[in-house]
Amino acid sequence: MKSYTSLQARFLEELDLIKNTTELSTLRAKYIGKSGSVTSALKTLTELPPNERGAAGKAINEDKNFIAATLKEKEDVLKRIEISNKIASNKIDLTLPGYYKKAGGRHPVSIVMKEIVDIFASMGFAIEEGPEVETDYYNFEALNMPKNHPARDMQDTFYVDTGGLTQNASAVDSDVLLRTHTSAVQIRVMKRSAPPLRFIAPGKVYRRDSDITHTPLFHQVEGLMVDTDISFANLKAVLEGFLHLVFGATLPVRFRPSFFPFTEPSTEGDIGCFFCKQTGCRICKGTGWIEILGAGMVNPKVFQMVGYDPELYCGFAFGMGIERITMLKYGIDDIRLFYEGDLRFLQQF
Amino acid sequence: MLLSLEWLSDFIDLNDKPAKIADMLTMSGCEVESIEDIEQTVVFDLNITPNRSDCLSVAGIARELAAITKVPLKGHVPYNIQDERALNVAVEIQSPQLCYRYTGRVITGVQVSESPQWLKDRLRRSGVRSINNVVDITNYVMLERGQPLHAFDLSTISGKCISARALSRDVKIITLDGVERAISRGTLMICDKKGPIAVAGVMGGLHTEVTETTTNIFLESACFNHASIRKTSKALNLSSESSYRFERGVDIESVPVALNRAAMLIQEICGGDISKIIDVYPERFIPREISLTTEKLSRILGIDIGQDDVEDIFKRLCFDVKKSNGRFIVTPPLYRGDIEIDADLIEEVARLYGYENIPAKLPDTQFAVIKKSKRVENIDLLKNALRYAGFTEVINYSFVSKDALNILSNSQQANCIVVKNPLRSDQSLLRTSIVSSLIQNFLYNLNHGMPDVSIYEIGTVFFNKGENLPDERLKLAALSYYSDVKRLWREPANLFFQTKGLVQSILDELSITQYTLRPSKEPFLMQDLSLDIWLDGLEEKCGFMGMLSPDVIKKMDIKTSSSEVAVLELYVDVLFSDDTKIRRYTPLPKYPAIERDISLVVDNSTQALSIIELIQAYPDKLIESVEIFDYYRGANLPEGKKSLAFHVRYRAIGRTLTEQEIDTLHNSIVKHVMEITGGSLR
Repeated sequence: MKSYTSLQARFLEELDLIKNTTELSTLRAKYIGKSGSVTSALKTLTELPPNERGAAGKAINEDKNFIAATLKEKEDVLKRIEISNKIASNKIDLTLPGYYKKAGGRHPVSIVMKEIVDIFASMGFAIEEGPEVETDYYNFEALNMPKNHPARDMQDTFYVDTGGLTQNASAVDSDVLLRTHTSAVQIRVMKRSAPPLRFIAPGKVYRRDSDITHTPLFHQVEGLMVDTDISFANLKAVLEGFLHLVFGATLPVRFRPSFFPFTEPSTEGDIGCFFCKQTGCRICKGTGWIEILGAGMVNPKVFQMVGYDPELYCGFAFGMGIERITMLKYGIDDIRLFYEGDLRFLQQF
Repeated sequence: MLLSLEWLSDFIDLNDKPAKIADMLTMSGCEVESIEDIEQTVVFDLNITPNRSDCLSVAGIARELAAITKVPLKGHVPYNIQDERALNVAVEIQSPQLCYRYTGRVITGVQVSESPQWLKDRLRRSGVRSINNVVDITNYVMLERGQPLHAFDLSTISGKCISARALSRDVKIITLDGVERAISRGTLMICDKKGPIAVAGVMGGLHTEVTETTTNIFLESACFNHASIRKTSKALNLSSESSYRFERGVDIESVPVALNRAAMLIQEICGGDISKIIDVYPERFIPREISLTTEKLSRILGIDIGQDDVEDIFKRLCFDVKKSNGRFIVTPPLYRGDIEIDADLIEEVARLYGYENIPAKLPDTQFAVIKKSKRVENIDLLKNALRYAGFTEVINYSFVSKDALNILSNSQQANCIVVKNPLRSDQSLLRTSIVSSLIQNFLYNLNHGMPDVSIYEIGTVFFNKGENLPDERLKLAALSYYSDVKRLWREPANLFFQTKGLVQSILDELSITQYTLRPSKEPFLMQDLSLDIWLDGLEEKCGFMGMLSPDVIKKMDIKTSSSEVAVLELYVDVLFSDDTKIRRYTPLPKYPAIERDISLVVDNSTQALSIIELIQAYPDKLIESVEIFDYYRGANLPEGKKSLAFHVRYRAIGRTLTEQEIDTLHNSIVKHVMEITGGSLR
């Protein structure tokens, strides 16, 4: 056990009674302050004979160091107690919410669009864009849909008057329309660039249709890959890979024959209905499958239109509706929610 | 198209379950959208694509199933009509480019009445209403064979002569549905001696309708130019089962077959005598030969299919096929008008081989270096910036109403593009501004009880420039509104400065530093609380921001206590235009800075920016930065005065500054600023 000098013992007794830092300062002054007892003792050293000064000085310094160190320890303890007492007495309600600027929502269609664009970009597809107001030529004619082609029934079209409000008859051109699909971008890109091509074209499209599954404006992503040796087997692999990235790798995917004037052979890609695990439900109309995209090998007639040699080049094109994919992903049952601007809906994303 | 399996079994016997049959049809291109049980029989709802008019009938689907399953079609006795009577009607095709073939028979002494039950049942399950036995039989044969037919009451046909001709002038005719229709010149019509009696291929005329009192009929089976029928149907906004089939194309060789089938059924059910046939077929159709190389077939499909398998597929489809030197010469029957080029043959092979049997294989292409779209990236950047600034993204229709545009100012619609056939009258213009759409969203949300609204949209706006296509530009717009509901924590700035900050942060985000904000004259913004955004070196301003003017707020008719709504709109493409700028880093300072403050009381009219510029312009290289940190108006200050305080930071590049030199410099700057602004120290 450590033995204390009488001074140290007396100091410790007094220290025990100290309750706060103010009292502590008084105690410090009493011992080691300018006129404290230890300080005074040091001053009296000179009165001692020289041969005693060394030992006495050492003893006093030990007392001083001990007291200073002990005071420091006590001070730390007291300060900690005082801070927590102060906090406790302030009674800050820590359950109050923190302050931050609440982030807004991103439109679900825009989220899914970005996801799709990113996936294709990672597969080496460039991004192309085209105008939303198009000519009949780019939207239909060049895609092998001449006037009076029944396939035009699949896409009820808005026509616009670029003559403005002036009612100037000569400026009216019935051939200007709101594009009904992003496929129009295919033609624009092929007309300005030579193969090989690998791009997607995301954007808004318009059809004269409005009900629980149709809005007059919606979004599509179109894709095109053209080279000398691109096959239907490639189409399947790229789109299957894409669908697995969007909906999960275990999801069944199937391709069945279909018809689009600008592709031949044409196909529609279905995914297994994940709502009913393919046992049949309202969403898949009992078939177990949900239609998700249209695709096909570019029709040689389209290549002729843009001046590509159809004997040399081949490729596949595909297109999909973003709203539909978004609805499936989030379980949204009414497409009109996308365009009402209702924050109660949009802030969920 | 509705198809009952019970009817199908007239043509083919399949042992498979309905679900299996549906799957086979779907996987070969005739999508079965639903399978339903109607009156103890299974009915498929088929989605027949526009190219496959040959499948728009029970017989057509049976033929398709025979090709898929290799089960032979049931044999049918040819429709041989015995005891034909003389024909007393003349038929003429005057427009052979619009009417390719016209056949007819007269049936005399028929008894028009209700159809037998089995006939009504089959029609009903196909979604067709029963009218009378004669009309029902024409519909029945159309559903069964895909060939539309029409029966006229012979007694109403004037002059006993019928011609198919394009109108030389506009006429009016009342169609079977009782509607009087104006038919324009050039439309193909069926006419008698007096004039038009039917809109060819679309709908018969009311005057020649078969009714209960009819005893003699003229039965028509024809083939018309499909584009012409479609044009007529579109022009009249009148679509019928008949026009639907004609515009997709009917089998010209089945025209007399269907006629005979119907004539015999009529005789069987309604009685009567059948005349000889008239068959006007000016220019015989010839099936086309198409060549397909096996090399192309494998290249396009990405799989080698054995030549025998390919040949077998063509034969199952009843295509005539010859093999020669790695090449198939294929002649499809006339009812497959959709098969025009080798790509069409490739699809036939693929779909009967089974798309599912073509293995997926990733493209074997060279590594592609793609140009990343800076534009798409920038838009994404903006969307994230706005999101974290508390704004929610909305997407609106591109069409707006005049009223919505006019809420901003009457000049907004001046160069709008007009939608000719809008769905609704309030969607008749293409928007030139996005703020107008956001105002509608704002009102909607206010009406649905949202206290605060902070929304933005990035979208295209359209300006008519008198050319074929309009000028399309990408705009970003935002709207912000806070109700005066009490909140726990206070926002550090008022709405105007929040919005200004948003503009600055957007420009910052895009590394745009060279711009000026000047008071705006937009008529829908408050005059003293609005700014235009100008990028240096551009002739056109790139946007505006500010508080909506009291006029606009009044027009909106909102019921809230706070009437402060901030908006901003920016042309985004202008902001993106400079993506070549190379960013370089500034070396970090080696010596410490010294900071001093200036606190001044100046006239209200003195602008903070002018003082900052004044200090920055002071001819001394040691001034590193000037930053305002306090702005105050109110009590303790004389009338018409405000107090502004700035941090000024001094630094030398090559040495440590001394307190004394900065004291001297700072004092002279303070003096300089006071002299110029007439301000005093606070």
